[in-house]
Amino acid sequence: MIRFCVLLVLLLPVTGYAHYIPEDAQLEVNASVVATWRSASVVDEYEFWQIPGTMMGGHAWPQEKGVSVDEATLTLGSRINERMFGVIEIGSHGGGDDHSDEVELQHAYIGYVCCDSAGPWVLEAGKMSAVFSPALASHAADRWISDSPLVNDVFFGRDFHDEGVRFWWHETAGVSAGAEVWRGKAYPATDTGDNNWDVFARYQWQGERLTLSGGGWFYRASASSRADHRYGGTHIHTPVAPPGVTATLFPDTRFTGDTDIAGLHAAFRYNPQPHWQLGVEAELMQMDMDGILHDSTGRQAGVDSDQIGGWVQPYLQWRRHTMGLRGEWLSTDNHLVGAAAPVLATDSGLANPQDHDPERYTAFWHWQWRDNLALRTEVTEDRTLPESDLRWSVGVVWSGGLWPSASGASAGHQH
Amino acid sequence: MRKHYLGAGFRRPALIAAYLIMLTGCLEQSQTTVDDQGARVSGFDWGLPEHIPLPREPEDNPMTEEKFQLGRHLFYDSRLSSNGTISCSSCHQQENAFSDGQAQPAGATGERHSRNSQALVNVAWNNTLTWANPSLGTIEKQIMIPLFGDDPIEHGLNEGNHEQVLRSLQAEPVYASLFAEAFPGQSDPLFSDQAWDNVVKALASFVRGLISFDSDFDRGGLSAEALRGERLFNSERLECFHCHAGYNFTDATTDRLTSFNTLLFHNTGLYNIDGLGAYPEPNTGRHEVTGKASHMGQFRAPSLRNVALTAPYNHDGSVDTLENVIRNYAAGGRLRVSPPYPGDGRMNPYKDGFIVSFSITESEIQDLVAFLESLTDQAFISNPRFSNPWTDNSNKDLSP
Amino acid sequence: MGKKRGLYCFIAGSVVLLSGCGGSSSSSTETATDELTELTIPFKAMVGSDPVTCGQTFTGLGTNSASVEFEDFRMFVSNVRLVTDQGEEIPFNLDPDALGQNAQVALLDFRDKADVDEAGAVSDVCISGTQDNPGFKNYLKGTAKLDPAKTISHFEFTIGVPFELNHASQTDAEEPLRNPGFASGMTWNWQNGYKFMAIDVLPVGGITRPSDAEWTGSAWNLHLGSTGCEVGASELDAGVPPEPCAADNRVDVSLPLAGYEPGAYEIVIDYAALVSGSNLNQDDGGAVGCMSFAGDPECPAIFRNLALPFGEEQNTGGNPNAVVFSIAELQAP
Repeated sequence: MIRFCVLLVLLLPVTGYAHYIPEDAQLEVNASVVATWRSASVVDEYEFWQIPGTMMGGHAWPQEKGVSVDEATLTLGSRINERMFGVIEIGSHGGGDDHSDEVELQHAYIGYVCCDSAGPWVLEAGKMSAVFSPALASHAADRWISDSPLVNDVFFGRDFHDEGVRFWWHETAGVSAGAEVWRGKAYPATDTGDNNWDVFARYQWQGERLTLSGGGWFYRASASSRADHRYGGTHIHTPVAPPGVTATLFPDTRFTGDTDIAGLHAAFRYNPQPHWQLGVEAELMQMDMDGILHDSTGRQAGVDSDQIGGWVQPYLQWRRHTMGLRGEWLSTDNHLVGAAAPVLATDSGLANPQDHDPERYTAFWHWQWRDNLALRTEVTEDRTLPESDLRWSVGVVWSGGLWPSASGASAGHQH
Repeated sequence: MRKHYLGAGFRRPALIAAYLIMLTGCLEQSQTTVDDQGARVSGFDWGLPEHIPLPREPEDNPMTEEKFQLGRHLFYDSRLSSNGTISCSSCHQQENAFSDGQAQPAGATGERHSRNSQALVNVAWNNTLTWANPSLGTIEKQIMIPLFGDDPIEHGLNEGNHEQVLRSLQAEPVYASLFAEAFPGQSDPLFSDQAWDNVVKALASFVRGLISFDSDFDRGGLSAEALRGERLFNSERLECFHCHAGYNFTDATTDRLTSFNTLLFHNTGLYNIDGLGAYPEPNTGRHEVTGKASHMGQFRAPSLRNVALTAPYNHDGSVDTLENVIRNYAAGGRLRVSPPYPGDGRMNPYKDGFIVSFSITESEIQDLVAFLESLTDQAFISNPRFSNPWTDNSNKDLSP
Repeated sequence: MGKKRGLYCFIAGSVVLLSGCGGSSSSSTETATDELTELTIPFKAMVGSDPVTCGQTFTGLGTNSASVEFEDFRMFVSNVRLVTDQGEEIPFNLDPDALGQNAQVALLDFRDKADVDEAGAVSDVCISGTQDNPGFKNYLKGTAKLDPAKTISHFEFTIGVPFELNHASQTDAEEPLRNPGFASGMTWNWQNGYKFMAIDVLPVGGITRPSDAEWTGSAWNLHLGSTGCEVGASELDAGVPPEPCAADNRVDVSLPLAGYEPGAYEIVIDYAALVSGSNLNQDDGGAVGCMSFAGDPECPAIFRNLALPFGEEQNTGGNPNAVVFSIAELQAP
């Protein structure tokens, strides 16, 4: 029994598979806060984190030296009636000079289940995360490692919160499958009326010692004049650097076109003995981008991009300690055509003069010190930019239910 | 025993992990290929720094070195005027970055032009030619005006004298070979009925080849004053960069990379003679060509390269120094109290939205001027390639 | 039986033969109506009832009875056509080999005097010219497909250069559009086109401006041309013609023939009627005279007489064309 509970406690935040559907009519409140101290920044102040060979945007802020609150979230969920439930989540993401500590409404959606208490058919609508990729929907509080995977940062701008509708078969007989349609407010789409949608399916098999899960998905976005809102877009700041430092103006290059991303994910978990667990998780994504790059001075060039990347994370868990590694890779193949192609390639970040292959390796040790509180430390060899960087970090994760206070097994942040 | 179990338990996941890691090794080498479709291909050696895009060349007049040299001879040739007194260089002198230091120049008959001679600096990148004409898209079209225009008379070539002028060119022995080299596809470029067309194309090629990108600013050697001036230039307070933007310091720029072209003209609040925004005739700017009220007083922002050499300033040369130009912008326009043309340009209703007043100290004005002076390209004004090729003085401009 | 068959054959055969005969005779009349008839259409520039000549002073012009001498009187004519009473338009094809013409445009030049030197160079055209101007042209020469069965009711033409030619390269153009060449002085480069009609006069007593005591002018110029032309904002290659200009200002003239046979009439242009509403000793602003610019105070009167819209005025009322342009019986030379 204890074994089972420990397993359960450890399983839920890691997989995020247990899609959060409030059972009780009572209001449930969960919260999580992640704070991390890092020994170095990826890029200097007044510089941009632009990985050569990629177009970035969304919330893919670079890691900064010092303490930062990576994330703070508060989730409220309630069962409205027999069939319907609602979830609201507010939170903040760290990173970004002007956008840190901004509290936003991240989720606000209503769900309808049919016809048991948790499905299997579920219809959800509102502002929410996507569920096609479990890792994409996860937050720093759920992951072993504080940094989100590289492919998530590059392809999706780190996270995905959008307004849309989801209809799916929910976690029954090990199967979840469905489709989502989005408004396009999340990177890499723009909110211009064209359809953004995805389909997904996954399967989970659970044995006595072994758990296997895997799935695939396909996401299509269309964008019109999409900017990198981390540094550009309609609200560009002319950076004012102190004396002796030059600050460069961010080139505001836009993208208009379609982005197709397909992915496969898998997770394997094995309990050879009580208190021990081994696991490997991985996700592979491939992106195809086809459209036009353009900027405000009337220059444009056709762009055709094929990028593929992924991450693999093997780990070993003993009681409350987890140690592991995550290796991340990205390979980009971009073609630009047009008189302005050379200058737009440089401005947009797609230029890759050194044929650089971004990689990142992180080793971590995660200690679930208390039920609600965890400590972790990581060492990262960051080769996302041509100059590689070694940094280490120490962080704290607090994640728990606030209300009702008597929830023991509830492990906090869920979605 | 435990160890044994652990070993066995490890093998399978370790294999899977290794397999997945190996799978990612299938990832190919990253690369980005760029195809600029010949954007840097030209029959002419422009000699531009790498980051400056090539200018447009008309399809019917691609740039060649031979046309450039022929045009250079014609540019400095005062036989191209009704009475032999005016050449292009009369109002476009190399030492003044091809302007003439006058408020308004006079033509062959002494008739004064109502507007200031513009400096011929990087004209190849201008999206329209002259101060305020949205219908002149190429240098070839613009050159027809000083040569054949009658209002005002500049070179004064007309119905009665064009044949005689052409004959005087034909009598010059140097031209026979220059024309033949510049137009190798034609059988008799100087004597056929294409002769005038060739003259215009050669002159346009010379003007197109006058390039200037070698100032202190380009080489990165700015004084502390000029650096402060640059900050002011790019600041949100002054906003000079909104109209004088980019590598040529003007928003009226087009190059090979531009796929669409926006004609930009700005009213800077210099005049307001009737209290309703009117500029004095005939210099009503873009309105003079289009007739639209909203275009009253709109002029093209000229390039600021070499601006320190092109006084006096503005379309009619009515502002004598750079400091006064800056003071007009600081005031949000020009208040003229005494004749001619009194009026409060600051209240001009057609003023561009960026011309709002700002505060600036005298030392800041000096810093800004220092920055503008750093845009002077000494090599440009002394480059023998752009200077008078005629060895004797008989074809030099005779007018004072 | 055999006899009857033979008779039928004979009848059938003769019918075939006769129909063949009938067919050939009808085809010969078809070719007659396919022929092109050569026509020369004379134009006459007049001041009231006096023909325009260089070096002569004409009196009684305009609102203040000004006296003037001519300095220039030229016009581009295009799109010439004969219109039947059924409304069918028969194009008049300009002869490209005739003086001052190409297949699309003709340049009429009513300046009859000039000075010609030994080398054949022409100077002092109209003003102080003493010899005949070799470029003098007061006719259109061309061909048209005339069908005697059709009655021509109207003669129509356009004063102006067609749009595509109006903004093309001038040094490279086919005469009479070449500058320098026939079109010298008929160009309006900085509006990027040609002057469709240029009639410049030198009023006796000069020209004054009521609002400016120090201002004087000597020539009252009437230049008709397209205004408000801008280079296309989307293209800037090789001086691509601009977007359609804000004001075309091409005059479409339609004159009823009133029964005149081809070759028996001439087209009259009356300068006095054209400036009937203008004061030729005065200019209130803009260019001296009227150069078609929006806002020029001298243009409304001219444009009214040309039945051309100007500014707010549509100028479609009445038929001023019948006053400025008219058809008269060809006078014997």
